[in-house]
Amino acid sequence: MTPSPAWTRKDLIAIEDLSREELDIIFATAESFKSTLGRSVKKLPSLRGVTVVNLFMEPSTRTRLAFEIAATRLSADVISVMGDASSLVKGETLRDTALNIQALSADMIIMRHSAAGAAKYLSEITDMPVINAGDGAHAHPTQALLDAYTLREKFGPDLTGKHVTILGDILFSRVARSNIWCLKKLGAHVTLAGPSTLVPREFENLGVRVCHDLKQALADADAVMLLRIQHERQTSTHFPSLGEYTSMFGLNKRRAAWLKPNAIIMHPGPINRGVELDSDLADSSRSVILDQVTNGIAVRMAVLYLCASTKSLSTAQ
Amino acid sequence: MNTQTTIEAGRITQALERLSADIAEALAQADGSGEKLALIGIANGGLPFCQKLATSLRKKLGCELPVGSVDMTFHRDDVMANPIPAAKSRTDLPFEIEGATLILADDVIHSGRTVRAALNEIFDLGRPKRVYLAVLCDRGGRRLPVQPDFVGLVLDTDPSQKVKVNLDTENPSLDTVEILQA
Repeated sequence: MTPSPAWTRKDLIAIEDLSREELDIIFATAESFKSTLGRSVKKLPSLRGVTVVNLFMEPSTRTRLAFEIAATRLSADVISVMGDASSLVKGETLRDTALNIQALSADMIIMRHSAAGAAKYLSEITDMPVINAGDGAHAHPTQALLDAYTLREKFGPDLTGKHVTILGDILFSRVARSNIWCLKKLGAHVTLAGPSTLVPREFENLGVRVCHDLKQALADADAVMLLRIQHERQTSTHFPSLGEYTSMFGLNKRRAAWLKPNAIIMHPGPINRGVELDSDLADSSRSVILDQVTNGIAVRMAVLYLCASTKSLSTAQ
Repeated sequence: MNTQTTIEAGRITQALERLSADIAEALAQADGSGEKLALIGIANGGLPFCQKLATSLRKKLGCELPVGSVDMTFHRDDVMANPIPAAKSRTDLPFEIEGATLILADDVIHSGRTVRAALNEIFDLGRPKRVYLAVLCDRGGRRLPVQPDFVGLVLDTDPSQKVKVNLDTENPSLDTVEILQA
C-alpha cells in the first residue's frame, strides 16, 4: 500500500494555490468515493458529526445540490443558507455572518459569493475550513477539478499534451479561469475561443492560446468545453445579439464535424440549448455533460473529506 | 527497524494447510452444502493470504469458491486522521452477499478495528447469513471484542513491535512473517 502524502490544506479557495501533488491527492480520493456512488447504501460515515453550512449568496442549482449531496453521502449534517433568506439582506456583514456560523459550532462553510475574494476573506477570519463554490469571476475550483477528473476518465490519468478548447464567455467566467489553472498544471494545452470582446488577448499571459477562428480552435481539440452565455451580463455590451453569437460561435452538428472523431463535448451547465450548444449535440454520445455532474459529487466528497481532515487533526493536537 | 524474529516458509505453509482444513471441517459440520460460499480478503494485506487460502480451500472442498476484496478505508474509526491511500484495491465483491456464508481473511489481527471496519463495509453491500474470520497471524492486543474463528499462527508480540507478512502467491518457499522492533 502506498500511503498518499498528507493533505494539510484547511481551505480550497482557488486552483492556483494547489500543487500538482495536491491535485493528484484529490483525484485519487475522488476515485475512491466514486466507486461507492452506485451502491444501494450510499452513505459513508467519514464526516459523521460534522456540520457543514452551504452559504450560497448567488443563485445555484447543481453546485449547491452537488455539495449538499456530497456532504450528506459523507454523513455530515448540512444546512443550506440562501443569500436572499439570510441576515445579509438586513445589512449584516459577511464577517458577522461567518463568525455567527462559527459560534453556532458549525465545522465547515461552502460559500458562493458574487465578490471575487470573498471565500479567501472568510478563510482568513474563521477557523473553519472554507470551500469556494464560486466567487465572482475569480474562481470555481471544484468545477475545474470535476472537469479535469472527467477528462482523466476519458483520456487516462495523464493529460500531458492533450488539447482542450474553452469556448464562449471567457472574460466573465470563473469556470474558465479555474480550468486554465488546472489544465495547465496537469500539462494540457489550452485554447480559448470566442468573440474578441469575450476572449481578449491578455489571457495569453496565462500561457494559453487565444483564437477567434472557431474552425482553427476546434481542429486539434481533444475536448471542447462550452461556457454558458450569460444573457444577464453581456448581451448589451459584448456582442449584438444572442442570435449573432450563435451564428458565429454556437456549436452545432456542422461545426462539431471540425472536431477530431473522438473529441468530447463538455459544459458546466446550465446549458442555453440552441445558443452556445445545439440540443442534439448536448444529448449526443460525444457529450460528457452528465458525467461531469456525477463526477461533481465524487470530487466534492473528496474536497470536503480532505479539508475536514485538517480540522480534525488541528482539534486533536 | 530491526527484524527480531522471522517465521520461515515451511511453518507458514503448515499453518495455512491446517487453517484451511479447519475451515473445511467447520463448513462440513455446519452442513453448508448448497449454500452460497465466498472468500473475502481485506485490502491490501489480506489479499495474498486470501488468494492462498482460496487455492487450498478449493482443493479441500472440491468446489468453486468465489473470491472478492474489501476496502475498509471509509469505515475506519480514524478516517479523518489519515488520508485515503493513493493506491489501493477497492471493494470488489463479484458475488451475491445477501444470505451468503463469507470467510473474511486478513494477514494479521491486532486491535480488531480493521475487522470491525471491514464488516461495516460488507454490510453496506448486503446482509450475509454468516461471516467467519480467518487470519494468518494473531498477534493479540485486541481493543474490540472481535475474535477470529480460524488462526494460522499465534504470535507473542508487544505493542511497540510490527508484524510484516510477506506472502508470494507464485512461490510459497519465499513466504516469511517478520516481527520487527520499532
